[in-house]
Formats: sequence, C-alpha cells, structure tokens
Amino acid sequence: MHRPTPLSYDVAGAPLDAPAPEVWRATPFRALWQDGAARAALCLLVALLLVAVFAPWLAPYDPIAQPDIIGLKYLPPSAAHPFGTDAYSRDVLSRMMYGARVSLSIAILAMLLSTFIGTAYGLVAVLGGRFTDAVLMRGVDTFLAIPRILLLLGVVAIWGDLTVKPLIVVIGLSGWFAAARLVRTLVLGLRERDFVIAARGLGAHTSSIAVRHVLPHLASPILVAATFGVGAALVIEAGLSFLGYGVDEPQASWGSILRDGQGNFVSAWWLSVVPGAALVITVLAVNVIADRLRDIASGRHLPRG
Amino acid sequence: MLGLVVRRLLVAVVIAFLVATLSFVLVHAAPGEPFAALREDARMTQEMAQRLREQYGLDRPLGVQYVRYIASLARGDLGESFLQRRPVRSVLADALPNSLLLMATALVVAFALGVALGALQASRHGSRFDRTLGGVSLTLASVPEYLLAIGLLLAFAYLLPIFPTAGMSDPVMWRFMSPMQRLTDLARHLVLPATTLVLIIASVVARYQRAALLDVLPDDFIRTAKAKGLSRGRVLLHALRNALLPTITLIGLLFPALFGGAVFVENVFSWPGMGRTIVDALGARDYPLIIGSMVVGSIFVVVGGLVADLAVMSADPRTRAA
Amino acid sequence: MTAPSPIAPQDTLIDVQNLHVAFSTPAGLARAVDGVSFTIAQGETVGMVGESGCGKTVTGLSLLRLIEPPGRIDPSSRILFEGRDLLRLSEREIRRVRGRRIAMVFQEPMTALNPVFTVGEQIAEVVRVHEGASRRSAWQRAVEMLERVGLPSPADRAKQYPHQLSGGMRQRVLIGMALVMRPALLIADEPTTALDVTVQAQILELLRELQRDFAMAVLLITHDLGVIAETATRVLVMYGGEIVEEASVDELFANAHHPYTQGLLAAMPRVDDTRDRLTTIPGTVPPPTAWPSGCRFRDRCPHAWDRTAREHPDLFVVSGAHRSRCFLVQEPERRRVVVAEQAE
Repeated sequence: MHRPTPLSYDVAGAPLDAPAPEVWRATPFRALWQDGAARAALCLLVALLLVAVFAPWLAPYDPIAQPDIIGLKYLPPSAAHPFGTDAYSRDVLSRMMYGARVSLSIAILAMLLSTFIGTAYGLVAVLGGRFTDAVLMRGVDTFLAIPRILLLLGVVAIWGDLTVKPLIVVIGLSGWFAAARLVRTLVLGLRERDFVIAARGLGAHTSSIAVRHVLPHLASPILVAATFGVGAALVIEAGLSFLGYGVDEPQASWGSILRDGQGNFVSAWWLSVVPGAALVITVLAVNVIADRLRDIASGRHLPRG
Repeated sequence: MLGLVVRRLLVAVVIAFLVATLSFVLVHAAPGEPFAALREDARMTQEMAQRLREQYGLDRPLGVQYVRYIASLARGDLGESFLQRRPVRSVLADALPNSLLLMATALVVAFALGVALGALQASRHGSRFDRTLGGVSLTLASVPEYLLAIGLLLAFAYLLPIFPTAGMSDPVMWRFMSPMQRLTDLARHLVLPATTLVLIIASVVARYQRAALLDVLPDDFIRTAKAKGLSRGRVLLHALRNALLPTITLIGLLFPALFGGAVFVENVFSWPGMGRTIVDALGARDYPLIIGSMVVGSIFVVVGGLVADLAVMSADPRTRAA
Repeated sequence: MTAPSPIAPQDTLIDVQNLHVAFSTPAGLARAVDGVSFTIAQGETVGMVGESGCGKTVTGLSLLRLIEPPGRIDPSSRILFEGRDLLRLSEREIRRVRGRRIAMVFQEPMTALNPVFTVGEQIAEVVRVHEGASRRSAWQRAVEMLERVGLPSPADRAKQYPHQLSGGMRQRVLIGMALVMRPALLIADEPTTALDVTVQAQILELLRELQRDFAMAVLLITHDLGVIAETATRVLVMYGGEIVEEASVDELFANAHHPYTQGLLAAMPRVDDTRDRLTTIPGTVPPPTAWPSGCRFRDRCPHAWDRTAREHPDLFVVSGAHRSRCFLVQEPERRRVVVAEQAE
C-alpha cells in the first residue's frame, strides 16, 4: 500500500537504471504471496474451494434430510451439530458445505460470464468506430443506471423462480456493464500508444491488433476487476436469496440459510451468524486479493521495510 | 456549459426511455403469456384486468402495444397497483420522499465522513493509522448491506434497546406528539438505517478520496504551495480542492449502489420507501408497481448522476467556462 | 572540511556547509547531494549548472527544506542564512522563511500553479499567510505584483485561472508569487527551460531587472551555460552530487579547468560555430546509489589515470576564487590533447 514518493526531480532517472527489486519482476502471484494479508486470503479461499468440491465426502449429514422436525429443530451448536440445526432439523454445517458449492460456483461462473461479455463488448465498441461506440455505450449507460439488484429482482420476479444454472446466467448477464466500460476506457488509451499505431501502420487487421497487441495490456486491470466481481456476485446471490428470490428450496446456498435465520435471529442466532460470517470473510478475502492485485498492477506495491 | 446540461438531460431522457423499453421486453419475454400468473389471482377484479389489457393492449400487435405503453408512461400514467388498489403514481409519490430522506441523509454524512477520513489517511499515508483505517474500510466495503443492517439492528435495537427496531415513526404515540417530538421521533428511527448506508458508502468514499489525494500530492503545485510557506493544513487544502473533483464524480456513480443498498436496508428496518415497496410488489406479483418502481428508480439514479456531473463541472474552473 | 569562502563574511547571505542529501530507494541509498558547500553574497546572482541527475535541483530544494521522504538531509549539514541554521529551525520557523525570505520558482509553469484557484488568489495567499493581511489588501498587492512582472491588464488577469494563461504569463505569475514578499534570496530552478525561445529571453530579462530593483540574491539552477553567461556573475558546476568547479563567469568561460566543464562548454552551440556537429560528453552520469570511489567523472574523462581511480579529488584552488575538483591542478602535465568525440 506504500506509494513511492517520486524520488525528486534530479535523481528520478537513477533508480530505473538500478536493478528492480525482485517483487517487480515476479509474476503477480509471486508478488501476492509476499503480502501477508493476501497470502492468508488465498489460503482461506483455497480451503473453502476444497470444502465445496469435497462436500459430499466431508459433510456429516445429508443437507436436505429432515430427521425429526419436531425434536431436532433449532438445536443450538453442539458436538453433534457444530453449527446447530434449522427449522426443519437439517444440519447447518452440512448445509453450509453444500451451500458453498452453490454460492461459490454461482459467483465464479457468473464472474467469468460477465468478464467475457464485458471484455468482448468493450473491444467491439472501441474498435467498431465512432457510431458503434456511441450506440453501444448508451446501452451500457442504461444498464448502469439501473441498480443491479433491481434488475435482477425484476427478471426473477417476472420470470419466476430460478434454479442454479439460470441464476448463474442472470447474475452474469447483470454484471458486465462496468467491465465493458473499463475495457473501453483502457483500449481508448492504448489505441494512441506507439505499438498499436505501429501494428496498424504495418497493415495488421483490426481484430488481430485487438487480440495480439491490446488484450495483453488489459490483462491486469481486467484481472483486478474480475476478482472484485467475484465478491460482488457472492453478495448479490446471497442478497437475492435473502429477499426470497434465490435458489429453490430445499437446495441450500449461504443466502438461503441466512434467510432461514431471518426473523429468528435472536433465538436461533447461529442461522444468521454462521452464513453471515462465512459470507463476510469470503468476500473480504476476495476483496483483499483484488485490492493487492491492483496495488501490484499499478506499480504501487513496494516491499514494506 | 448550458449546452452540456441540455445534452446530459437528453441522455437522461434516452436512458429513462431505454429502461422503460427494457421493462416492456422483460414482461413480454417472460415464459408464457404476460400476466398469466394473475389469471387465478383472487384480488384481480374484472375492471383491473380490463385496465391492464388496455394499458398493454394485449390483443394488439407487439409494435402497437409498445407505442401505447411508452405513450402512457410519457403521460405519467404508470397504471394501477393490484396490491394497494390505487394508481402506481400515488404509491410511489408516498414512498419516494421517504427513500430520498434516507438516502440523502446517508449520502451527506457518508460524503463528509469519507472525505475527512480519506484526507487524514492520505496526510499520513503508510502510517499505522492509515493501514488500520484502510483495513477497516475494506472490511466494511465487503460487508453486504443486509448483514450490516441486521448486525446494527441486533446490537442497538435488541441487545441495547437504544433505537426503535422498525418503521419511520412510533405507531402508537405519533398522533399525540408535538411537531418537535415528531421530528425527534423521526430522527431516532432514521439513525440505524442511515448508519448502515453511511458506514458502507463512507468506506468506499474514504478509499477513493485517499487514492485521489495521493495522486495529487506529488504534483508540482503542491510543492509550490509548500515553497510559499503554507502550513500542512493549508497545503492539504490545496490538494483537497483538486482531489474532491473525482470524488464528486464517484458519488454520481454510487447512486445505483446507494439505491440497491436502500432496497435491503428498507426491508430490514421496515422503512416505508421505494425499496420496501418494490419487494412487497415483487412478492405480490404486482407488475404495474414493479415496472413503475424500476422506471422511477432508474430516473432517480440518472438524475443523481447528472447532478454530480454538474457539480463537478461547476467546481472545476477548467470546465466551468466551457 | 569546508574551504574558506572567497567572499567576505559580512556580505554573505547564505552559507551552505557540507550539504548531504540522500534518498532511500529500492536499489539502495541514493546520495543525490554529497558534500556541497558554497556561499551566496547579498544581491549576487550565482549560476548552478550540471546535467540532470547531478543534484542541482535537490540542492535548491534543500535550501527551503523541501526534501520529502524517502529523501533526507543529513543532520551534519549546515545552511546558515541571516544568522540562523535553517536545518535547525522548527517546522513553524522554516515556514516563516519559505516564500518570505527565500522564494523559489520552478521549472514547469504549466503544472506549478494550482489549477483550481485564480492566479490572484494564489499570490494573495502568500501575503495573507506571511503578513496576516486582509483579503482585500492582499488582493491589491497581488494585482500590483502582476503589474510589476509585466502582465497586461493585471486586475483582470488576477481573476483568471492558470489554464487561461500562456506559458510565459504563468511563469510571470510564478515569479510574482515568489517575489511578492521581497525575499532576500530567489532560487530559480530552470525557470525558462519549458518556454519558447523568445519567451525565454523575456523571462530572463525580467529576472535580471527584478534582481537589480529588489537587490536580491539569485541562485539560478540550469543545465544551460548560455543562460548562465547572460545572467550570473559566478558559476558552480555540479557533477555526481558534488561541486566540481567554481569560478566567476568570465574566468569560467575563458579558462575552464575541469574536464567536465570543458565538455559542457564544447557542447554549447555558438553563433560563430563552424563545426558540423556539436560535441557531447560520452557516457552517462553514474547512479547516485553507487558513486565510483575515486573521481566520479573518471569513466567519462579523457585524461583519467590510475590516481583518479584510487583517490577522491578535493576542490583545489586553480587561481584566486577559481577552484576545480581535479588532480590536474596538481599534475597539469597529465592533461592530454584530445580531439573531442563527435556526436551522431
């Protein structure tokens, strides 16, 4: 997070001649690994992904089984049920593990969809000429004007309840507008740079310039935006579930577990605290990584010392 | 500058129009006939069904339907709410001011707080204070509004019952209160929902303001200001006057997120605003109200962005003359 | 350590003794200014010349203590000004010196002014801060100053923002801002580099005129010996964070001693030039993180011999007030006759 103060005006050129510190030449991942907070976040996310992938083997109970909805409902955390049980006597730990599969896969796949569409759209807008650009960007402005949750609620409410796959598509389709804008702005800046002008002068085709010369320069800002996008998608999915428009019962996502706890958060606090904490910690981990990646990409990252 | 305002207003109109079109497409692209779900709805009177058919002209070709729909929107006719059995316009006219009160309060406080914290952080960047605050703001920016709202509700309305749990006013005592007492009562109800939004928006603003200041501080004119013999505070003021411009722009871009946050906050605290109205409408499949809210909400967002852009333009002498 | 100053002490306005400024960088400690000593007499114009990276701007900023972290002025340095050591003043006291007793004009008139304040406000602010003057009278002073630096219709111009003025006018505004408190010393860091040639001449003329009228001393920092020839009476040549030659302007142009100065002079374009190409000094300045142990110029010097790699030369007296940091003062027979390399 340290920003190098410009080394004054006379000596500014000198450090450039000197060998760059290891961290600048390392891959983004190496630089990330050298940051304590980012390392912790990475470990946490990897662990979480493993839990999600191996949930069927790790979960102590069937996440949708309702063994005894009278005797075993709303059990507080205990050795048998570390995160307690819900109103239907289902084990919350098992539901959290299976919920991680749903929540994480929705977030990651939706982000991939958003990033792909946004990047392609932004490239087409800039490289397609002035008129195309104006029309396409007015469209993006429209969608950016609608709060994302409102757009999603509108779609979900009018089209009825959704399963996981449509939900991924809908969340992905609602999240690419900012990416399109970002890519467009970046490409507009790059277009005037020497290597693009040179490639054009050599007669390279527009689409080949886009893929071979422009895209590599966009990699790091897009990576940063996409990482933040995972956090946003996690929050939005849980938000939809929270309002009652997420994945269908009895399937679990973190948001739907949170919803089960709503209205009961004083007596059955674990139903709110467990998914809430999982959500906050995961989103924070994702955002820490995105934040550090941005520092690294902008060259603001210097080893603290 | 006037030309720019007119152009931006035109863009706003175009966007509102496109949002309306989008709503139309959404309704018609839905599986099955539009409003099929309403057929069996007991609340659906013959008269309302007729009105709905008229508004959407369901028996006409799609093109005609679309033109009629846009025309009625342009007249300000948003249809009739199934749920409340009165014009959507009057439902929204009740809800919008409540939302505006909540959002405006949150925005003003969050802006002041965020700018101050960002400036403090930038003036001692790299210090322990800066890093701690940076961690806090990143954490707050990662907490979904609904969780923060529930947390605050639990902490300050249940465990420590300082503030009321729900609504805008005390349902029983309200009619016996003097105007001054009513104002205090309103303020007490406003505290928790507004604080939720303030914490989240202020953390975003602070992060942004810090970065904007750090971008400006190495500039030559800051060195000039120091060479003039100005105090640290005055030098910071020179920087802040420049670094505020991108932050005001950010505020404009935050309006959709602010509105989205309000949807959740209003529902957790039962604040009778747009967000509450929309979610209630969704639950009841009250299509005219859903679409009306989407259009009005989007217009609000567009206008907010426009106001922020105008504020930046008039605050920056380089564009003021243009 | 400091050699006796050639100027009588009672005339001395500022006495810089053994100034060291270092920046901690990822590549190590950059000793940007490494043991610089000089004096400036009251009303004198001293030119400081050298390539970029030689430490001249850092020296100028040090006089106002404007070095920012990761840069640091070594505590053993001394800057005596009006009877006080500037490096030992409190933050509050040094602020009373900045802009009031010592002022600075920077290189880039495009960026040195704050874009969101009118130029009048920016000048008036100096008067308000240092004199506690009222808004009204400070504004009046700003307008007078703008008139003094030759801005047409100053009352109107004062209400304008920097982007509405040309580069030359902005530099006049900056000079006015620096001189509004009538400082005893003006540090002008490349004041004309960013300007058109015709405007350069006007600004230099203005500086000369104001220097005479205000009876102030000027430290003129530049890479252009031509500017020094027109303006200064005495020259300090800097290289590798050190002063390598010091002489009066006439002496320097007639009898430059240090091979580096000779290189700079050979690189100067002249009206009576019959050469096809200008000569340049081969090589580049070594990085301040790793100064060579002996003479810092030896890698680029046509005369270097084994002693220059072993020993670091002192500033030897050539004659009178003329001094040179070169062993050729002691061993003149080592000087070779060289045909300077021609630039491409």
